[in-house]
Amino acid sequence: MTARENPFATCHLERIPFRFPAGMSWDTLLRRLEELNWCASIVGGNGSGKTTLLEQIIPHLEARGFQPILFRLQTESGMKEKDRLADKFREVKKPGFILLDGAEQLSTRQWLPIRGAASEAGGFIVTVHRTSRLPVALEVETSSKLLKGLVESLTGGALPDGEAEILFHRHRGNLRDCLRELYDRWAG
Amino acid sequence: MIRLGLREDKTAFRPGEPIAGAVLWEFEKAPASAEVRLVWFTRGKGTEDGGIAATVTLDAPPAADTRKFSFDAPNGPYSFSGTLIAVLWSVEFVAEPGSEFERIEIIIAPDAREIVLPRIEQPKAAGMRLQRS
Amino acid sequence: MKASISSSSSSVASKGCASAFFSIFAIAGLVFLGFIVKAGWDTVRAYTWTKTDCMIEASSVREKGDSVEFDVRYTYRIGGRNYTGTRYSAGMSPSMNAASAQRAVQRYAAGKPAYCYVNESAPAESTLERGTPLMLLFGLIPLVFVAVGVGGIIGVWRTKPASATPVSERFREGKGTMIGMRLFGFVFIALGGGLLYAIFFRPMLKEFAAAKWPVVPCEITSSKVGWHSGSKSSTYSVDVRYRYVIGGKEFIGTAYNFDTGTSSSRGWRETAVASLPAGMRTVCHVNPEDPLDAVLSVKGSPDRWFGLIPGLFLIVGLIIFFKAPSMGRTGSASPVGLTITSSHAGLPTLVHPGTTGEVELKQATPPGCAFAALTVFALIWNGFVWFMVAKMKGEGWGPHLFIGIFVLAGLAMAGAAFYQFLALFNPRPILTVSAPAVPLGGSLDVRWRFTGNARRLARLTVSLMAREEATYRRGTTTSTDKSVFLNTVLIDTADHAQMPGGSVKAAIPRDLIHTFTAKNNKVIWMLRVHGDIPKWPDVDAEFPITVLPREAATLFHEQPPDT
Repeated sequence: MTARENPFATCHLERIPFRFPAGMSWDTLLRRLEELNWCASIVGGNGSGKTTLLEQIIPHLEARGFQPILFRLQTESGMKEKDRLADKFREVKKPGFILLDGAEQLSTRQWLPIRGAASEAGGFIVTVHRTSRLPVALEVETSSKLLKGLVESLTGGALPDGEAEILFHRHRGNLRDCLRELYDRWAG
Repeated sequence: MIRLGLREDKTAFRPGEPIAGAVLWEFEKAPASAEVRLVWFTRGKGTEDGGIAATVTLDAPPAADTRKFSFDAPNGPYSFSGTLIAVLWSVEFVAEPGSEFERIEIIIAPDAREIVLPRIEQPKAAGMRLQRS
Repeated sequence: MKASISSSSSSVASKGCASAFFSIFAIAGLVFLGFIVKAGWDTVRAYTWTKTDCMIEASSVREKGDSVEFDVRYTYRIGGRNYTGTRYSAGMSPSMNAASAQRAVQRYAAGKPAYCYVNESAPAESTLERGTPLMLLFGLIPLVFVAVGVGGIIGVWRTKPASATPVSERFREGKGTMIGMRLFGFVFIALGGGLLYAIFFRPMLKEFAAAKWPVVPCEITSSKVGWHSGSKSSTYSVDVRYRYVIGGKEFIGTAYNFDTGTSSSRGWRETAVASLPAGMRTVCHVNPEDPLDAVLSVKGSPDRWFGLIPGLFLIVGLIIFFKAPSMGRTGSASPVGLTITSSHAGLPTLVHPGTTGEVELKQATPPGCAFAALTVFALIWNGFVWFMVAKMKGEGWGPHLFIGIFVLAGLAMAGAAFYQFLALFNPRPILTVSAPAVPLGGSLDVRWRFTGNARRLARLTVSLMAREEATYRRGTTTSTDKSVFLNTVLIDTADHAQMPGGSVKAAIPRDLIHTFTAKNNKVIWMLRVHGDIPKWPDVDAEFPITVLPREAATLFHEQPPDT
């Protein structure tokens, strides 16, 4: 199968709507964020959908009058880039709203000035791997059942029995890596 | 309502060929701007790349109108699809505000056919003998 | 709205910061240059003075704190008048130590005639020795700093945005940058290599030689741990003095071992000094060819391994020197100055700077890169691990077993670095193609040759390859996947007569995709050279080429595509 037809191409993966755990929805998440004074963290492992959630919350925040700005920290980001982040955050004033993806990469020394610099923003949401930094608004978890559901929505078909579980365990619950492997399999 | 069409419903072009068509729209209010764009973008395993190759700006667009447009198909990149990357072309009509748009996917390639790349076995790592294709 | 953390385009503020940074380079270089010019002037001036007979009145070695000085007094006659001189050397010359001072005493013994150099316009000014003109080469070091500083400031303020600069101009600008980078790299190589030799290799070589020197009785006259206060911490040295007799003549030695300099390690120095109390009679090793070259210990000190640190400078210098061509190139990584590049809108457009004719291709990864990277990594890893091992003396088996895993990994890294080191001695392929770019359906004449001994190859393969490269985010990291869609063997030979050089035609299939370079997605065409060397790392080199759309054939009349 060519890249044009591959259902696991990046453009399709990026358009998968975030799937909330039972009992949660955009409404409940936004209510929880409001309770936390729009200052909270999204917690989850690698490939659990934190980034997807952060990207997809943007229109919901805009609908509430905020102007969200998404900052993304990469492993390749240098120390200076991380240190400069505080300066960039200081420029964000209400209704500006800071979304920071990958906050677990900041050391405590880097985090503290950044936390202070975000105080004038309308809100501050970060993604992290473990509970720390800010109060938790949502803990994102993955399951082989979720993987099955995603594959069905992308391909319109189901994986063979047991395949989702094998994939899920092989990639230690990292759904992004599961879907990348499926891209390669579909590519032949 | 937007209707975007290409002459003779042609959707495959050779580089240098004219890409001509017309767009019809009917909105409640006159849009602030309206453009027809010739766009390329990638699809596949990599993060998407893309760009606008050419733009036809429709001056003083009223709430409803029909306008013609024409581009010359560029020399590249060709429309192709491989294992990891595909390059796709499209003609888009975009009206602001409201981000109203309509898109037609087209092919720009020699012989007006998308190039499909073969996939061969990865060559072995350094220190190994290369395989004949 | 999305924002990335990457830096934005140059602003006046950032240009100011960059200018300040380069100013430091320029000012430091100018200050250092000032000193060298002054010393250089003294050196050159002494060479214009008149060589005159003189008589040594007195000469002796004088101790001054931790150092020694050579005191001399001599008389000479100019224009019927007698003058007395006390200057030993004018201009730039190596610093004096106990051995060189004693040598000077031997050469300029009291009562002996000698030559001195006299400034005729001021006859009271004279010297016995003139400085070394070769040391003027040190002036190159501050000159490079000045050049980098001034060039950097000019570059910062003259740089136009990419969109405002023709691509051909940008390629031309790369040449000046390349020369600058090469000079910069050369300074690192010279400093790193020189220090590596002086601090690490030279002491080791001397130890090997000294092991065969005769052992001579000697008496310790004084010994103490020297203390040298620095701005942040103090350093220590073994300050020992001993006398020995060779051929009925007494000499003074000050060298404990062949390691030079001081360090913050005090422990082993205290032990050494405690074992050498004043008045103790012991033995020293004396160079039979130079009785002033003596040493008490022919063992290296525990600080010896710090001498490898300049090796990092050497490696960085080598990387800068050999990577300079690609660092100087500001466009995309096309090997020939002709590229498909993205316009501000992201559309790959054809840019033709007017280059045609035969072109030597550049290797995708310059030789030595893997070696340099692995060596740096292995040095850091092993340095840290062995430091931990040294700290674990007296611990039980458990911790040793645990650290053993890291030791093994370090040894594997060192092995890999050694493998890449061997690969540095491989014959290097050089590929020349008949045109800087080729359209789909066209063909290229490819000529290959080797520098080095190509007869070591048991088999040679030259292939035409093309692959897709897609880069994607994996959470907070990025990964690149590659997929080959063409691998055509152009030549595969085990005939030793064919290997050193030859030519072959590379036909580019017309129904594939041309070179494509976007931010995250690329189609790369290349020629790959692979050579088997029995029991040795193989030759494996990739040379990117530019394949254009068929329509570009008109740019290359000599290579029309097959129709």
